[in-house]
Amino acid sequence: MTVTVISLDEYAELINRASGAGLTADQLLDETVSFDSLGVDSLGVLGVVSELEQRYGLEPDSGADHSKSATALLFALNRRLVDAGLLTAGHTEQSIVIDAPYDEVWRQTNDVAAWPELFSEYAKAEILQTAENSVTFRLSMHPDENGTVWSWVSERTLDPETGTVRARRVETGPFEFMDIVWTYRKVEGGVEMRWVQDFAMKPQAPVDTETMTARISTNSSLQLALIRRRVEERARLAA
Amino acid sequence: MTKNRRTVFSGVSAIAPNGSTTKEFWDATLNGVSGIGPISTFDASGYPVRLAGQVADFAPRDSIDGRLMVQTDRWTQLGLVAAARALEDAEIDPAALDEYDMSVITATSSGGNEFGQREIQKLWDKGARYVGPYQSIAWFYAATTGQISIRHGMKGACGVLVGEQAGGLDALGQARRALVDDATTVVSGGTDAPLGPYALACHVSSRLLTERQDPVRAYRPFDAEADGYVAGEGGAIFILEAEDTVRARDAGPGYGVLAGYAATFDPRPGSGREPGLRRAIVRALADARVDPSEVDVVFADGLGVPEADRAEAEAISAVFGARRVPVTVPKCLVGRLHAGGAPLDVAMALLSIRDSVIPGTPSLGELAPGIDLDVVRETRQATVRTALVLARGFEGFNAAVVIRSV
Repeated sequence: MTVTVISLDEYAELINRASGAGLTADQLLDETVSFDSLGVDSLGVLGVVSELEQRYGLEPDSGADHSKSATALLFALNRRLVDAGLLTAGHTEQSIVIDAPYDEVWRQTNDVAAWPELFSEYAKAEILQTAENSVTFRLSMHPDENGTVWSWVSERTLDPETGTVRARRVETGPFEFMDIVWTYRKVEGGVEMRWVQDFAMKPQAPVDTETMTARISTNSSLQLALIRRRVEERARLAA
Repeated sequence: MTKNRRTVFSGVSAIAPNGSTTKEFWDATLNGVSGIGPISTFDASGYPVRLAGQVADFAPRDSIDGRLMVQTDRWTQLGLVAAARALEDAEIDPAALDEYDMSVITATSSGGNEFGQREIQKLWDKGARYVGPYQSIAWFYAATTGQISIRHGMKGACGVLVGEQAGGLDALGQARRALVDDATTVVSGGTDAPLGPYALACHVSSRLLTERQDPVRAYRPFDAEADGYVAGEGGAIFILEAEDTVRARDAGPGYGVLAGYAATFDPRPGSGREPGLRRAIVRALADARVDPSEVDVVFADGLGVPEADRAEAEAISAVFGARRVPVTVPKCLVGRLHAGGAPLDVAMALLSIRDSVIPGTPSLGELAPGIDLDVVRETRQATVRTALVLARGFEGFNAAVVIRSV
């Protein structure tokens, strides 16, 4: 049996239950934000860890590093879920509901050239080639903690009829392959945008598929919440 | 110049079942309005006891951060709200004072038992890992003192006194000592909130609670029909300062002075020796250098259990003479608040001095045989310069304080 990756909203709610901090997902978007700066003391963090373990039926990990940042704790959780077989290595599914008109969500999230202003992880998006319903582009991330700039080329094919986008890396870097299917559908409260990602790491890659699964799960929770906020803000301004 | 070391009450905050602010409580008390009613916080139909003095709407969510709510018991929340109001009443901004000059010394009788019950239920139902980490600090007797100290940055000598009803007076005695040592400002008094299913079961097992169901006629200290007390929650928190400190900051004279304090312990049950209450009264009066004839009113412990009422009446009469001093038990309107009860009596003593009034004991019908006391039935105007407050705690604690006008 597998579980759903915790969304940033659920994570904030769980932190609130354990600590009374009264946070929203938006306050967790900064990856460096420490529990200390959120006013959650060490017993509160212990409570958050305990709630997470209960939610997923994980055995208590007495040696766990009750990390200083909320994002680091989320990553540690996702890593344990992968190790426990509750998240499938090389496959993630996550979604968010954006309170904005369908066309607005579709347009903003498919404007690849503007992605550096939509996601927090991309420093640059260069459009290499466009056709009627496809685009090939190079994405470059912000330098990581070792100063490495990860960069790759992806190809993206849009099907406006079904509200589906298929993306795959054509220059895969450390990945064997990396495919993402985006689906959009109208739901109560807005538009649900779903990411299904399938991937595998090359043997010589600096991280294995398990670790990358935890990383992508964590980062996608953050990016989805950030995209929701930005798309909703822009839709409000446009209205 | 000799320092003026009289201990002054410069701030008062009461939270009681018949009024969740000092003013509401005092108005209700002077008018004989009861705060006792059917237990509403849980289904008490399986209990022989159905009444309690419950505090309504003291609005902690407005005044306490959500993070603090999650990690505190109701008893601590009562203390936090009362402490903040007492500081405001005393016109003290703790941030402007040296943190090592401020102390917190409170009393509790059973700690955070509602919080503890919740977590222990998780332990039984689900297992150890479901017990929340804040259990480690929330149940503990020192939690209220600690949280007040942290919230207001008070790092002087701090402590907690545990002596059931008498503990609330012991805390004030300890506060006076802290002022003699090196503190300039002490937050003291006590609160309790032992009305959850588990805590109430502990009290019921003492067989000292009344099983009557008429709120008005349930808790009747010194009455011929007295058959036990009603449990309540709440209490009072004070700001105590050395008199020279109060004068130096030009804050008004304060409510009154803690002139005397004494504590005694009862002899072993069945020893045939006299209980300790009379000695506590005598020593507190001696400590205050007050002659019994100077005492204007006694706020009695008033357990509402015939044998205990007789013992208290005998102790009072032995010191003052029969019917020689007005005695009152306004707590018949709110129940016994455990560690919060005696501080609430002290608050009443201070307000009696301020307003020249003695609140009555409206539950009293006919005095029980052998009770030779002048019990004040109806609230009456009277100049009050000196008040004696008595408290007895389960298992033999006795304490007395003498409160005088400034």
